[in-house]
Amino acid sequence: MGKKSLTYGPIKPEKIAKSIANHSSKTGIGAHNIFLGQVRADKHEGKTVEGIEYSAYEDMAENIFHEIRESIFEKYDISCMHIYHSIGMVKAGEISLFVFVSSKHRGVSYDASRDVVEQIKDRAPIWKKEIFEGENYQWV
Amino acid sequence: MKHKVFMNTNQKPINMSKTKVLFFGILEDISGCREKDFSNFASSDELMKHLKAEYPDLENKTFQIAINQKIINTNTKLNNGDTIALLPPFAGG
Repeated sequence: MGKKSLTYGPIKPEKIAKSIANHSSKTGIGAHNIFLGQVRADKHEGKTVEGIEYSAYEDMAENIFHEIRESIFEKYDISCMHIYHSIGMVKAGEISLFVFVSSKHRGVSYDASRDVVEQIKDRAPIWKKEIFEGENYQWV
Repeated sequence: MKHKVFMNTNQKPINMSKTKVLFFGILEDISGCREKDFSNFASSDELMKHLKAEYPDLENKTFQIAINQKIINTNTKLNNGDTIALLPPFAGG
């Protein structure tokens, strides 16, 4: 199996920039589609979410990411794709999900990217705990 | 020097089967732990019955069950060394 998709803490903008740069040698690619999930500072009963603590059934999640990847390559004519998902604490405003799909033309990159994100939401054994000010939290 | 005899050699070894149970998300709060070992449960239904008796709050929760990372939908025989995971609704992204 390839690189791990789960990464501890927030996904840094620098990592995203570096990922784009890493593709500059792949000149058959004409379109990159990037989806970023950002943690919202939702309000519940007057309390504001400071961040989300992600937890996962890590081995299973990595296997599911691998299955999603296989299914996407089978279904769409894409050049490459990457999934990164945070575990641990991610503060409001920080990035917790980074999906990167590259293809020759734009159309398929939109479709594949959407499909990856929906499959992650649907199939990946990941949970989140909204952390409020102080010690309070609630499972989502 | 005398040694204590722990096992009568005429006895057959006890047939112990061990199942590891993993609790995720809100279920971790209910069980108070991330994982726990259980012995001698022959099927997933039998084990679940025991878990719901030990942790009554599980009764009101929605979750799927995975054995060795594969989600099951029916009662399934347990083998020694199986890992059972209780998975509340996923919330990734």
